[in-house]
Amino acid sequence: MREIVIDISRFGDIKIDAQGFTGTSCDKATEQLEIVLGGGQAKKTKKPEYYSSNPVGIETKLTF
Amino acid sequence: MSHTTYINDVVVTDIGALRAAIEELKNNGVRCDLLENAKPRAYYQSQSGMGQAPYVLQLKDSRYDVGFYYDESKKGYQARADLFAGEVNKQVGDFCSTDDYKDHDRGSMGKLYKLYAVHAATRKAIQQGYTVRRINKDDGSVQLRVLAA
Repeated sequence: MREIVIDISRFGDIKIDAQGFTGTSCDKATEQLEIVLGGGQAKKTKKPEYYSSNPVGIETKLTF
Repeated sequence: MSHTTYINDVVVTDIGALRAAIEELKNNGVRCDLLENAKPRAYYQSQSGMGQAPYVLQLKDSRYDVGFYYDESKKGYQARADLFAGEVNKQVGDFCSTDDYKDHDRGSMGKLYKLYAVHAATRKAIQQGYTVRRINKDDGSVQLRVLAA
């Protein structure tokens, strides 16, 4: 399931966690949120799945 | 999960969300109004950095107001106020138990930043076709769970 979890501290610090996305689709999903909240000044940390073009849980078999 | 984004410097880009945040402050007992093209009150009448602002949050139970000034480099409005004597903090801040000076400064308008973030994120997510569930936590933080419709 694709979900975006946004945690906002009592000081207004924000953490946006894109869950269940693969590849760059998560960028598109959170881009507008990042702009409206931080004016595009957000600091992003990519996770291993970001570099995967396959859905999570699906293996790619290589044959030689 | 594919990425995590951190934003420690809230920039106001959605005036509708700012208005919604101010309505929530009012509902929580803060006597305030959002003015346009006004001069926020500060300790000195001609205080540096506190001139005419496009938007001003007038705080009726404080001697000082919050001005919103456009910052081209951040592509949005930044809140600015005279924090002297904790006047603004008492209205739109969040008192901190920590001795960390940086946290004291951030906490001075914490409630305002938090509510703006809640409403801005909710409005944008709904606009994009998502559904949003808001969870108010005991520690004063808020979690938004955003799901594709």
